[in-house]
Amino acid sequence: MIRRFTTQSDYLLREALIGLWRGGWMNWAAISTLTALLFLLGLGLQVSTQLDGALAKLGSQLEISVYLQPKVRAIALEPKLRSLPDVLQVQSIPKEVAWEALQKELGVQGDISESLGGNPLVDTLRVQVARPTVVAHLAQQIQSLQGVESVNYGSEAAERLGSLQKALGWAALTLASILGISTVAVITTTIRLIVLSRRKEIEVLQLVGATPLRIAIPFVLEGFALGLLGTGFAWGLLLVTGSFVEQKRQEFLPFLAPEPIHLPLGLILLGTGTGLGVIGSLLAVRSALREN
Amino acid sequence: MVGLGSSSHEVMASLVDVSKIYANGSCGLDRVNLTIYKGDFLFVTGASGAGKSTLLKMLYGAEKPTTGTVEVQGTIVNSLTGAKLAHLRRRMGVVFQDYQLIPKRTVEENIAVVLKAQGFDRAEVRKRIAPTLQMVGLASKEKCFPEELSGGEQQRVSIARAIVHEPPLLLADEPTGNLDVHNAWMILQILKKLNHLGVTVVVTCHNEQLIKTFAKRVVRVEAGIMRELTPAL
Repeated sequence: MIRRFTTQSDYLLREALIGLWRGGWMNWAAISTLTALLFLLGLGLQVSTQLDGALAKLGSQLEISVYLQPKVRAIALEPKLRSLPDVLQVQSIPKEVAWEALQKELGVQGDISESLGGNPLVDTLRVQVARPTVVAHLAQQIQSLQGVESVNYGSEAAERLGSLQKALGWAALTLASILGISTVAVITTTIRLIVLSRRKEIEVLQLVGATPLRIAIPFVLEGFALGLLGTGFAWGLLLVTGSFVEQKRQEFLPFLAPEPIHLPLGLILLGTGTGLGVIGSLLAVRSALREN
Repeated sequence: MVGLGSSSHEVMASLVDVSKIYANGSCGLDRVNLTIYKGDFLFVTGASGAGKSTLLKMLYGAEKPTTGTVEVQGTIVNSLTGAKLAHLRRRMGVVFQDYQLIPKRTVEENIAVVLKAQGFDRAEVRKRIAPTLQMVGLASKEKCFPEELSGGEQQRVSIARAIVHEPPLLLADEPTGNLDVHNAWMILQILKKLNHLGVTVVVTCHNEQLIKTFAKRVVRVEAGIMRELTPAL
């Protein structure tokens, strides 16, 4: 049983290796096509992740300033605000603290509140929001709460950021879909060319008693290997491009946080590359087996 | 295995009322009845397009009959496909007029492909190749590629590939069709030798002279209709 298994595996692996070795330029056509398409796909995903991250960070800095009615204290409203969805953090600023800070800022000596008839400020709350897209809605919600005099937030900036993020998300999805479809089409055609060039071999194997599975497996392994090599090259190119972009970022956009290329992206590319290689081979060899 | 070079009454293959009508309406075979016995050396003759190759293709399952039954070594071939057909083909060898060798593989690899495809281990493959090549007179050509060989040599490689797994039945479709007289003669000598070793041989051939020299049993196919010229033993 074990001997049979090793004999079979030995044969199938050797056939796949011989196929790769003798496939010549067509293998390179498949590998380079896969490399180019996986590189573009990886680049698209990486840029999308990078912008997503940057926007999320900018978005998290957005806050809503909540000004309360003169007799309402911030501490009383704080728990209510904390319980609202998408609220990350709430900071209470009592009017006394704000007044003191203002006087210090203005360089006022002594207490001028008496001459003004008391502290003219009100309690304030600063609410940090999770996503830029919800800022406007959350601000409206807070405005309608009892004891709130007015709210202030960078509405235009928040909305713009939100819609930019949305547009980028769609662009990334569209790019990924187009590239995915192109990759399937190109890889299936390329591997079909490899199979066609070995049609005679398939025909002979069928005539000498090789089962369809035995004929197909070496081609599928070849497809897997092509996918693996394509992914390897694409990953290498992405790392080189990534380090170049990182250098430029440090030069021109130092305020943006770095977004290194993560392993999950590699795994996505590996899955896509080998999956496409295997599917392409299966489709191509299946049609060749049917033709004979 | 039957006695050397002689037919027995054990049936190797049979065609019963087999007809083949193609999609365009032309008739490949018309109600053919043929019994091939173990140890037979059968020539199938007739003009080009008469239906000789169709008859052979029926035996190795490359063509399906429109009506009738094709049976080989106790298996009905009519509806066999995929792995079942592959397993039947392991019990026969097929030789073609155009050799059907894999161009990018050496002689040795072309022969080994049969054994490897059938699951033989490497030691067994190595053990079988040398004597098979010796049998067809190509012992020194194992590392050559098909393009480095003459037509006659390529056909001998094709025969070696067909017999390396020691099948009881050998089907040869016009094996001498592309060869000069000397090479054709050599090929038929090899087939005769195999028959003497107990292999049932079915050969299609349109060269009447060669048939006269070698024939034990001859059937003629004309416009799809088969006629026995020499009776079976």
